[in-house]
Amino acid sequence: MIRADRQKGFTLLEVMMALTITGLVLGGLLSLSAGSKRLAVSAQDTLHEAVQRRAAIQFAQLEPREGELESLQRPGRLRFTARSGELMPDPIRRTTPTTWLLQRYELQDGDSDDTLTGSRWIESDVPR
Amino acid sequence: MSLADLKYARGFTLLELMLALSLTALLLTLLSAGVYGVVRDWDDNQEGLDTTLDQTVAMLQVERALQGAMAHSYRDMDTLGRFIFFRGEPDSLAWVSTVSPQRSGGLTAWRLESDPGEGVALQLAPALTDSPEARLEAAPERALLPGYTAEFRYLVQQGDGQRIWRDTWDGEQRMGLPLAVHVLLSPLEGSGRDRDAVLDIVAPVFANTHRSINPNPLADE
Repeated sequence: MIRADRQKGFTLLEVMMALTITGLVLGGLLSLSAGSKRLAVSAQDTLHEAVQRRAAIQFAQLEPREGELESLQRPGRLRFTARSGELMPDPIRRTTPTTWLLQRYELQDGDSDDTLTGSRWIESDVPR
Repeated sequence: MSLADLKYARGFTLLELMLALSLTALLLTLLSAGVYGVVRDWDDNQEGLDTTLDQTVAMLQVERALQGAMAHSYRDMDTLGRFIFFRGEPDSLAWVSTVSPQRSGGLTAWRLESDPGEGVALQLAPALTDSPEARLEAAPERALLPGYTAEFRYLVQQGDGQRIWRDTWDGEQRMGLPLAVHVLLSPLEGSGRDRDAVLDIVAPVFANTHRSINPNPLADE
């Protein structure tokens, strides 16, 4: 069988190395694409979340009465629950009583358990 | 190469050749289909991200333009009365803002209209001393937020000091601007977005009274 002697294929080692390299390259490409997809989706979520948080902060600024933080919120499921905190300390140089006071508030994010804090103007009935 | 060598040197048979070619073609087809899918997915992601970025910038700009709203007055040539321009409806809003897009100077009249089939469209026109309504009507519509419907609400302070949202605001009747504007954006059906993913634009209007025209306290009655 002279003919059979002359036929020489790849060894098992060579075939496996070639397959491994091909697999690595393809896997790298696919994981790159998957990573970019994840990044794009999370970037969109972050953008929408920033818009929602911005709106929640603006909503909290609209009501100048004490303790009435949520009355002007949009009806429906509220993502942020608002809590009003203490009054901010008076500035040292304040000389006359005023009806406008600064109050702290907190916005609790129901989805991520983050807390946003800020201050808002409230109007009291009597000047302090 | 001797004659004896030539006798043993044989090429592939036709069958082997065809088998090899068809296998190659099959593999290439599969591979290109896979690559096509990956590339299309990549493009979709990029387009989605670009659209979201554009829309976020558009929302911020609308918020800024509403914050910079101004009690723009004009004289009605039929009655010779002075009126404030601000037309707030549940699904559309026209106002004059100190904020001008595209570096154009002066005051600009903005008009947002929500079309339930298409999205939110924007019209812009310069605000001069007359009512900008006719120029706004003639201005070209641009799709500002395709895939969203908008509902508008206007914040008013009642006589007892309580603040409530109203569905409409007629500047000519009220002679002033609302304390704040709330735009609720809901994704349209078939836009590919989650129906619950509503977005809010809340903009306080700081300069809500005219320098010489007093607001009409009887507008609610």
